[in-house]
Amino acid sequence: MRYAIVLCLLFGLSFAQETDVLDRQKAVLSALDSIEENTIGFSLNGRAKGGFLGSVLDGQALSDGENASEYSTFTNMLLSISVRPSNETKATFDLRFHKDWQSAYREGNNSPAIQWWSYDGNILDKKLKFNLGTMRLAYTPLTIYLPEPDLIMEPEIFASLKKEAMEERYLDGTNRRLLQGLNAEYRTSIGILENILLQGTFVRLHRNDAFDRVATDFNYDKDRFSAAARFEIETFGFSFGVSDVYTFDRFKSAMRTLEDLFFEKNNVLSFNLGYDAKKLLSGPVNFGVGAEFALSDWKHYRESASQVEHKQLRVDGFDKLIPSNSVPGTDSISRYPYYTTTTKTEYNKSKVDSYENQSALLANAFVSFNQNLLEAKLSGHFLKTDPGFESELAASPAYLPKMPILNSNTALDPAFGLLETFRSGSLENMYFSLYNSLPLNALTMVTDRTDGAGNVFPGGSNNEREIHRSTKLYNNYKFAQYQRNAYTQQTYSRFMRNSTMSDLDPGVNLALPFGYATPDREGGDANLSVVWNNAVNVNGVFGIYSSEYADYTRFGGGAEVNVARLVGLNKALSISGSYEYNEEKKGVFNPQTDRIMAGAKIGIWRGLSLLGGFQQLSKKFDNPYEGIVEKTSEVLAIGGPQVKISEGAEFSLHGGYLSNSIEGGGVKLDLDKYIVSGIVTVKF
Amino acid sequence: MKRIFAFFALCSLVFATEEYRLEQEIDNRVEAINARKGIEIGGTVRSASFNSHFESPDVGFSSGDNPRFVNRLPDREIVEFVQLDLDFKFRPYDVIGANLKLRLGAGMQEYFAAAATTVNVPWLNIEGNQKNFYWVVGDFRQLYSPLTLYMPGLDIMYEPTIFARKREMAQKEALMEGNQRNLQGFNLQFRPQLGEALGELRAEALGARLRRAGYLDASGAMGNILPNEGIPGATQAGRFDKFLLGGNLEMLPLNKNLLVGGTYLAILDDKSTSRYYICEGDCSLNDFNRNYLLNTLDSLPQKTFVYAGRAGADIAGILKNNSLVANFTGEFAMSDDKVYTLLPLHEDPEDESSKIIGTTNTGKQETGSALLAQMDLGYKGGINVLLSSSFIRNEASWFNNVAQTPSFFARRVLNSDKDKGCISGSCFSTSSATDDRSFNLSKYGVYSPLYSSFDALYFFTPKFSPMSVTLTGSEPGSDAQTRSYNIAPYAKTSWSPSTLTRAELVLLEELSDLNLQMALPSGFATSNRQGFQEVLTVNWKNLAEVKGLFANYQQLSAFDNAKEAKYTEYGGGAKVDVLGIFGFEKNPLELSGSYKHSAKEQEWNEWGTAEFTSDFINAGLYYRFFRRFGLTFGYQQINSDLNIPGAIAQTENSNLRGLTSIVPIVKAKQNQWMVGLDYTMAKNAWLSINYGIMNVENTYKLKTESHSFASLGSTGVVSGTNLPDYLAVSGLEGVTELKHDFSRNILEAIINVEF
Repeated sequence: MRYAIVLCLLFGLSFAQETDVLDRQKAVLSALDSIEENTIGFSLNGRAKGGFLGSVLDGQALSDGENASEYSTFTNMLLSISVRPSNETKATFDLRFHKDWQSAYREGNNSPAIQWWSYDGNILDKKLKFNLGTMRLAYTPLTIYLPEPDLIMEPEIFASLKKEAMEERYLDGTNRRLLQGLNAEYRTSIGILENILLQGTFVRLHRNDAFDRVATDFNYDKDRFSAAARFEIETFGFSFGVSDVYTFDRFKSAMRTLEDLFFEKNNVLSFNLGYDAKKLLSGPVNFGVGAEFALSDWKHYRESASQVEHKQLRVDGFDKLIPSNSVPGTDSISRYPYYTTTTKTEYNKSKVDSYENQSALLANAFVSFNQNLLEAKLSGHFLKTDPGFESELAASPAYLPKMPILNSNTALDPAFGLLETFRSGSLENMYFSLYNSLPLNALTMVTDRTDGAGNVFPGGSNNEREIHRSTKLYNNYKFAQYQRNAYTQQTYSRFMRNSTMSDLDPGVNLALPFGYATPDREGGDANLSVVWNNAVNVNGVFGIYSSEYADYTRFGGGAEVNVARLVGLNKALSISGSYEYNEEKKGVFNPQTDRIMAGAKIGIWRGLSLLGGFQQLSKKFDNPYEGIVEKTSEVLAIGGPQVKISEGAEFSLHGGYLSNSIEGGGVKLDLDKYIVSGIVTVKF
Repeated sequence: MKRIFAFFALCSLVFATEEYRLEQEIDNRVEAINARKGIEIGGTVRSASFNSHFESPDVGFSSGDNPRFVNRLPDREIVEFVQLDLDFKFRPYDVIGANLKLRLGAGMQEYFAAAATTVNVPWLNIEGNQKNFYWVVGDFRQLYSPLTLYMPGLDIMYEPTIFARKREMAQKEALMEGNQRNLQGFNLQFRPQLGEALGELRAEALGARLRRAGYLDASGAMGNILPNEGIPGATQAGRFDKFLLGGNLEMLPLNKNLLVGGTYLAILDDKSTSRYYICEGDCSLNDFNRNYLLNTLDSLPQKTFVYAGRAGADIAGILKNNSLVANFTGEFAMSDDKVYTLLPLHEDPEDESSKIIGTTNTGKQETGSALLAQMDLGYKGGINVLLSSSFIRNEASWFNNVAQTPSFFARRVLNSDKDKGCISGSCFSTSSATDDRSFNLSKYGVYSPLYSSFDALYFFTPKFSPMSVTLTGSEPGSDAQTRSYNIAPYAKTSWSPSTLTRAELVLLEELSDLNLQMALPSGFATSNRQGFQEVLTVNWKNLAEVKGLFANYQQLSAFDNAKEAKYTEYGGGAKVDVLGIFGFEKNPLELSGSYKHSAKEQEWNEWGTAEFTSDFINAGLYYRFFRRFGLTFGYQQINSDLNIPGAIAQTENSNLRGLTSIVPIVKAKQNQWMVGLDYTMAKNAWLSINYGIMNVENTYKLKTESHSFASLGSTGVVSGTNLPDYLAVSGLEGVTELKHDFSRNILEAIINVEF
């Protein structure tokens, strides 16, 4: 029945020649939606993945000069359990099972991790959409948005590696933030007012989790919430919107100690106006303009505890207080009144810092041409943000490298000192991720060994220390799942961002590390895209931004040629290449980065195709980065066959070479990794 | 339908972001819908409630005016658990699918600790099947041949149904199926059928990771053979990533009546994965932790290659004679294994008296061969007669741990908390109830005071939480800990599909139960054996069967100070369906019984001829009535004797340093009977209520005229041995033998339903 609906729709559509492609696509999607919505009841879906990723690290930096290998060999399954009580709402639970291969001993309790739960619906005749629980959400680039790495013409093999790493973090590459809470959207039309949207969102961003010693991921000492609302309206191609996002810490959720606590509040009010001439112009040329103007308030508070003495007048022998405004009664005349002093802890809130009424303007315009085989689009942005502009939910980036991904267990020769900190370059962080399930013990639980022996509960008596010493942790029946992944779904407040993200990877989004909501930027970019016959795609990008402390320039371009389409082959054959240059001037480190990418996909036989990619990223610094790195050069060459086994099932085998060369202070650290991976994936 | 989508996809192949994204979305959604190809759900419910009441007349032992030691730990162990294995098969009828076994478990005591109940994934894989090509990635089982890839098990002749079912449950809980080895990796099988003359071709390859470089909780009972013991093989923490790569090529021509094949296996530790273990300078680990965490005691990389060729023929099949049984197979295998000689590494290499700071080793590849020939001869008719003969000749240097690691490793199960000995000096303290100087001995398996072969064979607990030593509700501080392993939940079972290292196998052999695993602890792949086995079976219409067994093996090369050990086994058994004979086929009354004698003899230069003999008797009854109800009864007896030279050899050759000395059991009598009522729905689905008594009488030898097995203190206290704490009290001067009786009353309710 459900296929019949789609077929009817498709046949209907194929005769309606005048309907434009976009509308037809939307209709097909809505038909697919309706297929899914009408599958009422309980369903189990998901995907299973199994295989290996091996990385052999080679280089003089290994203390004994020998190679070091690391193998991730695993089977995992994402089991999505959904319940659809009616065609209007659906509850979803995702369980993740992960097994690292070993048959040496019987595994303990390797429990699944619950990575997604949500209750979603589209009710009131599909006018009110709601999400409860985990959701992906974006408002506008200055309010709620997820800045992702922006690369020009990324070859398919790299794009798919990145997609996999992001999927491990539940990011889908659509610039939507991953949030947990409640969201409701009401859409309607009244007369000429099309697409009226009213939206409200309430989410918790952090939880007071000071006692979670396992991960640095979740440590936060108070609850942080965000409340947002949005209104949008469209008519005759014009659109107008207003949104507000208020993000705050809940004071009372903090664990109170005698130390100062800091809180942040952030409000962003944004207006956007746009015009798209598509409805007006029926010819090959179309244009559109848009602008978003946002005002932000950010306040930083300190709550300090102080010991305050309270004096109270008492009368000896009577355990009662004497009201301060009364004279002791006759009963107590014979006794001596006296003062008692009690000490109480009082908390005083004071504003430490604030940026109020800080503005940001993001304007964009495009003009496009579409006739016969040629399609061209020129678009541009203009951006001006005040130094104090703050929009937390739009400025927390998706890519945030913090740790080595591959061969992390290998110690390098101490002679390389701080250079080791940079052992994992951008390319490793961007394209690889690891997921492990390990027996829980002190060594896998605790990341720093502050009291010398990896004690879980430092500060205990000697006896306790001995008992809790690394090997002895009384939960050996349990396993835990760990990730090494440079992508994150977290949001960072301004204070957190400034204290943890001063050393962002300069290889990615150099000018706008926090997306369009990056504070203190003025400038613009332009993007020209020309497509011929859907087979040749040429893209050029140019951008200049400046801030109070530095100037940024970006330019680059790339091309992709679908040879198969050009010469009429029935097997895939496409090649692509791009170059991008980014530089910072008048700044602190002044990095200059060059990125070269090339890739190809060749269809061989039936579902078998070959994919390959090459990428080189070089960075140079006028002043040593972090006081040490002068130059780095990274290369990733990877390729191999990919076989489509059946619908939603494929096998890919990759062989790769990843090198990272870091120079600074007269020392050069060369690290080469030889990577092999073979992974089979099946959806169900 | 797909073409229409393809047409659509083509129409919309424009690079405008929105359209491109929508197109991708449509492709993904269509793909996802097409990928949904059904689910099959099956599973098993496994539930047991054991109430084991321990009794021993010796617990109240008292001697004169000396204070009496009382083992305060409870006499009763109640194990109750429910396990639900849900087997999901996604895309069951497609060329590719995924399998998930979701194990939900609860101990019935955990009502208030919901977080402690288990949700586990013991089995997860992706498999594909296209024409003659089958492949699997993830968990799988595989068997090539007894000398190459195999999991040796146990064979108990005519085991009474009431016990056989319990063993089946325990083995299935450990995910074992027959003699297949459980592995995790990939397995490829290409098996084209080439017609009658060429028969079948089997081209197979597999790769698996047997172990990964990583830490285990070295003091936990889970994942270690002997937690807290500083001997090689005690911890199973992986020093390296250990890989198995294998290839198997077989041809079965003449309608599969001939077999020619060969197998190649490589079992390799990847040395370069041991980076976890670099601990240079001050890595803040004391010796204990260094040995355990870094597993320095089993730290030499394995490099083993196995080559095997085999041939076989089914003569009766070739002759197309249905009443004849005549087939033979022969396999010859070579192993090439890296063997190390360990030498101490001195701080000053020139000075042998200087501090030993580690070990160094020299390694060389050593080859060993193994031969297995098997033949079945018989006649099929009104009465079936079959003689199965096996011959092996395996050199001492033959090594292949994927064929030699047995599935059974005798462990202590019921009343393991009670299994205590004295650590040192006086076993008891008169001053403080919490000053407990005893320690839990259960980890020593066969050497534990309360060990019984039947306990190890038939009982298991998927998640057992040991009791705190002092029975006080303190924090997990030192007081409450056993000195043997951490107080943390672990799976108490003797059945495991693990693959062990050489050091672990050596330890396991020492800790094996000679009553069950004497001649061939590693099956036909046992190294250093030569000998044969004959089994004659006579069967009449499946209603009556008689079996006889004779086996004789001996070591090929002797240990230092000894001559080759000799092993003899003989026995016989029968089963008969009494009512079946009279035509009551729906109400069978099956009687069965067997007797097996096993003996080991070895001459030691210093101590004389060591002898160990064991007699194993089985008797069973199974009667089915009212179609599904059944009455079961089983009786088993094991009597074993160890002579004095044998006792000396056992203790003198022991690797168990954790004990000061092992006091040998020179005579052991083990009895077990059980009676039960069951309701059987299908072959693998039954409910039963059973009651039985298991009793053991062990005679320990403390000393002989020339040899002392236990050191007696001035007041005659035996400490630091495997004697139960209440036996090791003072007043033993002049005593040469100690008798220890104990029994368990077992009441159990079992549900085992596979659906």
